[in-house]
Amino acid sequence: MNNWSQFIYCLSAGYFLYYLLNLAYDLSRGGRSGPASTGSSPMLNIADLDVPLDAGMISEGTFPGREDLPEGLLSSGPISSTGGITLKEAMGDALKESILYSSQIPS
Amino acid sequence: MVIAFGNTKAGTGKSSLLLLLASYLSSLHRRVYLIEVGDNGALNQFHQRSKILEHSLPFEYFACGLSGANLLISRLSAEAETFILVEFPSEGYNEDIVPLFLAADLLVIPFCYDVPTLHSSVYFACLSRRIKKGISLLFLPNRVSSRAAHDLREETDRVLRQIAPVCAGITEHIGFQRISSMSLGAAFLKRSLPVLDLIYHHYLPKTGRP
Repeated sequence: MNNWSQFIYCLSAGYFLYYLLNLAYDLSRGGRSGPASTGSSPMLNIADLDVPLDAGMISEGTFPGREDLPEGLLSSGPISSTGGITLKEAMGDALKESILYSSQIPS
Repeated sequence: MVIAFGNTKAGTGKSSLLLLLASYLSSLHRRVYLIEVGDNGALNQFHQRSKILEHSLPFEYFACGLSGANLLISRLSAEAETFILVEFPSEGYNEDIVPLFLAADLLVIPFCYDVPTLHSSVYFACLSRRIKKGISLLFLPNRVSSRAAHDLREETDRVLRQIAPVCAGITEHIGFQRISSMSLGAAFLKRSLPVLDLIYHHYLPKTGRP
């Protein structure tokens, strides 16, 4: 390496080659099936199935381990709104309401 | 059972009335815990004097900050058949006060028949209802003078009853101004006995009563 420019060029070329090799490796794996599924894994490659799946036959209970999970572990539960307000807003509303009551008291 | 006394205006007699109720419930041989939420209130000063004078108090007293009050109440509530009397702070409201409203089985609002106190009492009642829907409230008139004519008292009571029941009033007595410790004399307690009996038998929620 005579100077910094040549060093940078060589480093870039080396990295580019490394990138190409990685790309080629990934493309060569692309044609194969996904990771070998174990017995407990719920994953399956739909593209490999000869007969299409009937979605109506799938119920939530068929997913392994689903029944044993505590409620709400995988989700935050049903979407609901309490309609809650902050304490400051409640104090403001209470003040307005109290004025309506107090105005009934003759002064 | 948690009985709280509160009003956003200071000087409505929360401390002295709470002390009166604590003494009354103790005289009925009930286990009573008295909690003052806030720093260096009147009850704390009474307690300091009682400690120095070595008074044997029929109830236990706790002073705590707003952030720790709910935990203290929940711990004491675990004990069966107890009355937990709580004095709300008059000011310094923040989110930490919300659990106190939720914990109260009965929220007593002492007030006097003067305009500033009335406004703050109505406001406190409205705020309580907004924080806890269906909360049991009770307006407790304080410093009612039997000799003086309270103008518009009936009108005032009619308006207050739109929000919550109005109890019979605690009459003005020089003894209230002379309270300096947590030990109340039997004669002093006897003066307010009819109103305290009324609160105990009529206004305390039947559910949760020890």
